[in-house]
Amino acid sequence: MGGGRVSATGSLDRFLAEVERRAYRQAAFAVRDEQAALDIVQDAMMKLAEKYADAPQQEWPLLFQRILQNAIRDYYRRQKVRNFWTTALSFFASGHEDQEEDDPLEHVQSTDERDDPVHIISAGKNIAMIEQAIEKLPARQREAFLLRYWEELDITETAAVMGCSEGSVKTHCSRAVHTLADLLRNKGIIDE
Amino acid sequence: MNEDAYARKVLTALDDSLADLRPDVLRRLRNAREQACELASQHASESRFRGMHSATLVDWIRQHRVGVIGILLATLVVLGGVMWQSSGNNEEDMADIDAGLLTGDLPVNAYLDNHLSKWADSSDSAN
Repeated sequence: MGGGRVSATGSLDRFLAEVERRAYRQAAFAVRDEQAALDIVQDAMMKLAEKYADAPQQEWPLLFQRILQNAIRDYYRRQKVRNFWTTALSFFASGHEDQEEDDPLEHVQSTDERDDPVHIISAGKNIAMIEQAIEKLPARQREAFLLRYWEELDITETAAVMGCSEGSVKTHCSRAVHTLADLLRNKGIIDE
Repeated sequence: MNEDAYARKVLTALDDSLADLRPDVLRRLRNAREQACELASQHASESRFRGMHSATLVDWIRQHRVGVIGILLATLVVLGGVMWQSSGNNEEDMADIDAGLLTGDLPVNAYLDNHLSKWADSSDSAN
């Protein structure tokens, strides 16, 4: 009985070791903040261990992805509330004429600064460009693309994790691939 | 354009980048994983402990089936004996009372007569 427990914990350890890096990258693509991404992955691991360690091991990948995507969505929600209050407070603090300078969309667009060639060369040219291209995808397209192709979930599983129809998954994936192809072709890497 | 093939080509390049994560990121991921496994282990121990306690009595009864049945039978025999004994005593008591009534100087109706009871009480108090 004790041996079974040890092997179950060992299986969980192996499973998490296998998925942790991709999970981190997924979270980092989504939230564009390394520390927040690490927190999200840690939360997802803890929730899986707390609630689903006894579940059949073949269900772990789907459960983990569902928990991870929910954690990312929770982060978005918290950020939205935080941004609202930050914007509101700065509006009252600095007066009406400054409100356009604090448009949250400008902060989102600021990642385009990474197009700087010096940054691309220092980080490893092609991979950095691919990462940037994936970051630029709309959130739902990126989610579908990574779940479907990187996590190798089938369309039904991807739809279950994303909480949408299978048709939507196909559409998101197709659009994501075409957008990526355009972006990467413009940068001169990965021809079709 | 073969979308599947293109997507896999892109993600193969991305897979290669996973090996180059910074050491501090890898350390945090390892710590998170260890904490999660520890939590899972604790939960497993707790549920096993709860399961053990609920199963102990049932297991003990299964192992000592013959003894338990013997104890139950012995208890039934003792209870039956006590009941039989007490019912026998009642009959003897009733027989004694009947014998006392029939062999006494007073007729049986005297014991049922309220006037006689009052007279006996008043004569007791007069003495």
